Amino acid sequence: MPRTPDGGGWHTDASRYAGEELAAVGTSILALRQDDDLYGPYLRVSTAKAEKSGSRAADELTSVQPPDGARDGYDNVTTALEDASDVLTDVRLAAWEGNTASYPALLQRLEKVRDRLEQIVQSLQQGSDGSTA
Amino acid sequence: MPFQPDAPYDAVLRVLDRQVIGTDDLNVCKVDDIEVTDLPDGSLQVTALLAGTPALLPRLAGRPTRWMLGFWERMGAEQADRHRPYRIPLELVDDIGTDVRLNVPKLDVLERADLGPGRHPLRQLLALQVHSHLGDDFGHALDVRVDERHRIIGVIAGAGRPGSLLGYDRHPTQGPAVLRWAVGFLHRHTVYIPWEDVEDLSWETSALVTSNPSPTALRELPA
Amino acid sequence: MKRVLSMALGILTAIGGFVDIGDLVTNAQAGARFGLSLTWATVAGVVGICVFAEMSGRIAAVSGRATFDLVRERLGPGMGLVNLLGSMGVSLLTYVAEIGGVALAVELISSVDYMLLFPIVGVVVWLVLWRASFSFIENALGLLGLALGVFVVALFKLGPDWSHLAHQAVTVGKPSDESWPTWSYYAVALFGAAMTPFEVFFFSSGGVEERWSAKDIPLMRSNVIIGFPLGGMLSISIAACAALVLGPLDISVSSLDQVGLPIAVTLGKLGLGIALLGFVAATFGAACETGLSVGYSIAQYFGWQWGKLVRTDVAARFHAVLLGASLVALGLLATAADPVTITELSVVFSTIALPLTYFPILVVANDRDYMGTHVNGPLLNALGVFFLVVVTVVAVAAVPLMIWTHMGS
Repeated sequence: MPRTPDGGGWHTDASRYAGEELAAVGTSILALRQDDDLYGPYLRVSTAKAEKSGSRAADELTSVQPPDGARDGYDNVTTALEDASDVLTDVRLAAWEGNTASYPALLQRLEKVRDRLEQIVQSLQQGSDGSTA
Repeated sequence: MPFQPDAPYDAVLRVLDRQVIGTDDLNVCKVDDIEVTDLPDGSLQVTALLAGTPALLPRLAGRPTRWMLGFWERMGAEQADRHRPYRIPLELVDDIGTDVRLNVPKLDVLERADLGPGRHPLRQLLALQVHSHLGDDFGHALDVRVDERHRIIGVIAGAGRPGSLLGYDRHPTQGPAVLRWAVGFLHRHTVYIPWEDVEDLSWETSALVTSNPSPTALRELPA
Repeated sequence: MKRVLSMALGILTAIGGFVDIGDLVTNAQAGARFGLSLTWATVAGVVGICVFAEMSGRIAAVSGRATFDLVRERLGPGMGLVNLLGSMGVSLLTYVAEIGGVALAVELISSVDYMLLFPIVGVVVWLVLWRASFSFIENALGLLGLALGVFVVALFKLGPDWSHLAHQAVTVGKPSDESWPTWSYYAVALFGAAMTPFEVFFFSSGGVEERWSAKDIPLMRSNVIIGFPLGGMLSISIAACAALVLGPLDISVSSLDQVGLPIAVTLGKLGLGIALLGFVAATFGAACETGLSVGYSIAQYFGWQWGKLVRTDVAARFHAVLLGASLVALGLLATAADPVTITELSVVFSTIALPLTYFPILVVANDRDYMGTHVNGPLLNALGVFFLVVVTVVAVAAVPLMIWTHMGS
């Protein structure tokens, strides 16, 4: 059953899950940047946990039923979170394969989704329904 | 050499719930209750320490405990000695300080015993409602003062739980000041009744009657 | 010379043994979200545990009685039992969190899945509790915990604006995007992470085990007054590193790897390796302490023989409790509950167990029949009463805040 909209408003839930996705993306950025300075196992575990945390946030948000009129915001935010989760999966795959050559490109993609998530979190905290971010 | 206190002591404060330790420095049990015995002259004497579930469980107040007690009895209905606590005669006690030291080692020291006629666990004494013969209610017994020969020489009566005086009555300067004040305030109506003033003690009706309608307030007693 | 060495050992093990999974997680979380604006809560917790531990230690030295003996003695068997159930519950919950923490740290070293590791960790912890000597648990693990000093080094290497950090630490404020209830919740959590009851059970029971006497009081005091605050500095460094590295990237801490990332950023692989050693030592040591505390509290309530300093068969019930607690802990971890979440819960619930455990100690520390001339002086009493009020307020506020802020989310 989809969760009914939170009493505190759609933007409370949405900004919380977007924030969790943002944290997962930030962690992967840091981990990939360190690359050599992280032990192999540490990088693998870190990226795997980030992926798990991000996809959980995306799933939780998708399962919330948006209140009337917030459908656009819902679509916009859930797409952003899903895109971020996709990148996190690719990061995890690359880390476990040890495919260090792909890290720079992955970092670029991570920075892009990070910027987008940051904008979404800010606009949600300012009270918009997330459709304009 | 059995325990010889050098001053009167309060049984609940100084003995009850203390750790019992043998000569081999090993823990034996806790003082779960204390046995007092009727003397021919009407006074009571501390004669033994009691331990074990039958001694401890009845001291816990409240409905959940009655359920626990019933459960425990059902679990061993075939055991005849189920209700008998472990009894440590006072002769085995060497010293009572921050713990209770026995003059024997730990091994096999605890034996179950019936309390027998004329013997009562202290918790029954502490459950007594204390009145004057004119009907003034002084609450119930909170502690008993015991002399160097282990005879009960007085009863401290008031509201609240036994032991809630926390020792502040024995040492007028015990700190911290805030707690001492708080305990003093909560126990402002607590009184001390010397055993000579006890007119009647009925175990069946759980009542103790004093002949003095205005006993000394505890805080006015010299420590 | 021997006394100086022994004092140094005591202080070092106190520092290294101070941090546990609760401190690691809570300080990193608070630092990442609130910067250093909640440092005062950690400081309050550290001063509080110094007061509590000093009194308990002094009582253990003078009277040979450990904390939980006094809980039953002064509160009576009824309230004592309520306290026992609460304290055992919290110690057990923390025990679960610490075993989980060790497994998480080993996962970071080996990348073996945590769910495969925790049973092994649980068995090893129980074996250590069963077989290893008390001094191994206290000293070896405590000294290895000093590896967490790497967070202090990392903080200096980050070259922060010290005046800005100091300003944040001493003023009462919060970041604009956080609410006051959440700020208060984290204050409670940080306080609870620093002022843990199991630390005091372990400290005073250890003192009885080691047969402290009045002449050990100065040594005990130096451990507490120098060791614990320096341990608290480790906690604050963890928060500061998280604030400086994780905060700008909006990384909220929910797993142990995030706690170590600032070290990788500043000190590279070597630093990270030392930090990992510190994680394992700190959580393993705390697992032993909390496991023992479960045993200490129930044994001291019922009067059973307890302790590591007697043969295992002589303290049979005590060791049976340790085995039982370990099995229950492994059972709880087998539900795949997240150890970080369990840690967050344990830290908050610890604050609820504090007041009724603290109060009898404060009373007994003033009792001349117990302490002779070693009763509390007026300054210590003032601090003692102040913290009695603080722990009571925190205990009352803890669960409502937790529910209201959804555990700080």
